[in-house]
Amino acid sequence: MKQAIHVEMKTLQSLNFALSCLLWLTALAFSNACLAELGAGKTEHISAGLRLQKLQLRNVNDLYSVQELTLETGTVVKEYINSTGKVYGVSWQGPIKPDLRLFLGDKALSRLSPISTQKNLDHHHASMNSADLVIISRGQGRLFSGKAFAPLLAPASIGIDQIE
Amino acid sequence: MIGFQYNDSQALLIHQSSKATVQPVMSPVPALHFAIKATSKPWWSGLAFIFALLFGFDPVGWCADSYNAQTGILSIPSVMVNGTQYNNVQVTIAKVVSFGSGAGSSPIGTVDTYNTSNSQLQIPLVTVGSDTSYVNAVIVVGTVTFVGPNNVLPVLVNGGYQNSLPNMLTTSVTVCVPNTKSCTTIDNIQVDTGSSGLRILASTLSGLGLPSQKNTSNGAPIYECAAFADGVIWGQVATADITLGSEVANSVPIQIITDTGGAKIPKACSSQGFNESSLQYLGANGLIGVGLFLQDCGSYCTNSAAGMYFTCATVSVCNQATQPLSMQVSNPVAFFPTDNNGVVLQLPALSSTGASSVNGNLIFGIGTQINNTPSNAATTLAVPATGSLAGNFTALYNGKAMPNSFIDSGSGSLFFNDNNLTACSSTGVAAGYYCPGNNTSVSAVAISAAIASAPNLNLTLGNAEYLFNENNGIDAVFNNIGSPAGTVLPNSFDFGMPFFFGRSVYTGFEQKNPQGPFFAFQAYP
Repeated sequence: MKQAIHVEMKTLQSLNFALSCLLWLTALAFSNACLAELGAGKTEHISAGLRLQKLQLRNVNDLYSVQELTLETGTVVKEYINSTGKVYGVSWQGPIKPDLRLFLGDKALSRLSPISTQKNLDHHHASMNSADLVIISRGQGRLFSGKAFAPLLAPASIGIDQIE
Repeated sequence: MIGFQYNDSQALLIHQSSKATVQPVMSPVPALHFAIKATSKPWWSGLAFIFALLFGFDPVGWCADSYNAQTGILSIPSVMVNGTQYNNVQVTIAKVVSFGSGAGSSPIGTVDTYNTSNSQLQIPLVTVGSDTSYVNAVIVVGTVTFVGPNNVLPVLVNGGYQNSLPNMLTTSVTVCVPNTKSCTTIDNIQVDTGSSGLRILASTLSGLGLPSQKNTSNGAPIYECAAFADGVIWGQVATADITLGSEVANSVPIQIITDTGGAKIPKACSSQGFNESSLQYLGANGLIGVGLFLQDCGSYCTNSAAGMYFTCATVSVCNQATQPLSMQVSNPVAFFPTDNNGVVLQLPALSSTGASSVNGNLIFGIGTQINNTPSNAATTLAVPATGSLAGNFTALYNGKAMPNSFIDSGSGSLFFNDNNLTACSSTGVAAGYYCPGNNTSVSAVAISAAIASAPNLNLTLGNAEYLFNENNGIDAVFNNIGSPAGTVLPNSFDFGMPFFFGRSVYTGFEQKNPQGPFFAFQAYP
C-alpha cells in the first residue's frame, strides 16, 4: 500500500488520496495500512473465493464506477470505485449478511463494534459515524442491508446518499 | 357473549390458579354454537359423545369448546360472572336434562345461558351428527373451575442490561432435556418478533446437558453463526423441550450461545461482524425469536453453505455446511401442538413521558382462542414470504409509499428517515435518535405514518435526549422515540417497540393458516 501511494503521488488526485490515508492512519492509531478494502481496489471474486450468481461492472461517469456482485445467497454487494480505482463506498442488501470483513476490511469493520460505537441501539440496527467513516447496518428476519462510506476517498460532491 | 352466561359468582366454585390472568372482553364477540355429535350409542347413555364444539363465525373452527370424555370436563372459552368475562372455564357435567326440542323449534336466545338456581346450562343450538335441527339442550353443571387462559406468557419491557437499552422486551423461558423432567428456567430472554429461534447463553444452562446436534454423516457437532445487524451470535445447536407459559414445544433446535467453553468462533463467522456472544453485548441472557419465519435461515442454508451453519470437527476447526430445514434453529411457537400459527403481543398504552417498566402479555396462536382472535376492527397486512420484499409491507410516511416497512419488537425505536427532524447530539445520551424541539421538554411532534386503511396511528416523536434524562434517567420505556434509519432502504418505516404500546400486534407465521406470513394490529387489548 505504501508503495502504491508513492507512485500515485505524481497526480493531484493521488495526493488527496495520500492525505486521506494519513488521516486514516491517525484515526486508526498508527495502523500500518489504509483500510484493507475500503481504500483498496475492488474485490477480485475469484481470488477471494466467492461464488457469484452475477457480476457487473458499470462505469457511471468520470468520477466513479460501480462493481455489483450478486452472491450465491442472493445478497447483492455494490462497490463504489473512484477514478483512481479505490473503493470509497460499499452497500449490501439481501437475505443473508455478507462477509463484511472481505468487503470493508478488518479495521473498518472493527469500528462498528459496540466497543467503538457510543450506543448499541438494538440487535437490528447498528451505526457509527465519524469524519472519515460512516457505517450503517440493519437486519431483521431475512433482510439485511447496510452501507459503508469513506468520505475522504469519495469524489468531491459525492455523499453517502449516493451509496445505494 | 361466548360460552354461557352466569350472573351469580357465589354459586360457582371458582378456583383461580396462581398463573391465571383475567383477559379483557373482546368486542364484538362472535356468536357461539355448541355442536354435540352423537356416537352410535344413544346420547343419554353417557357424555362421551360430546365433543368438537365449533364456532359459527368465519373462519370456522378456530376457537372451540371441547369435551374430554376421559376426564368428563367440558372446556368453555369464556364465561361472564357478574358482567365480567373470564376465559377458559372448565365444568363437569352432572346430568343431561333434555336434548333439544327437536325439528321446527327456534333457539331461545343466541347465547348459552346459565341458570344459577338449578345449575342448568342452556345451549341454544345443538348439532347431533349431521342433524342440526335440535335446539335448546339443557345440561346440569356440576363443578366449575376457572383455570385462565393457557396460552399467555407474561412479558416485561424495561431498560435491559444496566438500564442501557430502551424498550427491551424480555420474558422467562423453561428449557428441558427432551422427554425428561430435567429442566431449568432462564429469565431476561429478549422477545424478538423480527427473528426466529431460541438462543440462550451457555453459562445460564450449566449442567443441564441438552443433547447437541450432530452432523448426520460425520458426527461432528453443529454450530451456528447467527447474524444480526450489530454483530454475530456464535454457538452450538442443541435440541430442547421448551415451555413458554403453560405451552410446550417438543424437540426444538435451539442455539446455545458460546460465552463459555465450546468451539472457537471461526473467521468465516467473525468476519460478518462483532462477536456479541455474551451478556454484556447481548444485553440479555438470550433471545427468543417468534417472527414470521419458521426457521432462522430457511432454504438459503439448505442449498448452499451461507456462512450460518458449521460443523466443528474440533474446537478449532469449524467448516461451513448446509443445514436441512428440520435441523435449523426454529421458531419454538410453531412447534406447539396448538396455538402454533402466530403470536400476539399486548402492551398497554403509555404516557408521553415514558415509564421505567411495563408489563404485558405474549399470547400464542391467532384466532385459536378468545384472547387471540382479532376484532373486526383489526388491520391485517399480508407480507411476502420470499424475495426482496420478504416480511415487508407498504406504509405511508408523509403520504409517500414506503414498501420496505415492517413491525418488529426487536427494534427499540421507530426507524425512518426524515431530513426535517433534528438528530440528537452524536456525543449525548441519545446519539442515534431524533431530538425534535428542545432538550428541556418532551417537545412531542406528530408524525404522519399510516398503514393501509388503518385509523390514524397517532404516532408522536419526543425529544429523546430529554426523555432519557428526565426522571433522573430511570425511565427506559417510551412510545415516542425515533431514529434515522440510514439510507440503504430509504423507503422503509420500521414500526419498532414504540408502536406496540396501546395495541395488540399479531405476527402470523409463514405456511400456517390463516394465510401467513402476515402482520395485524388493533387497539389494546
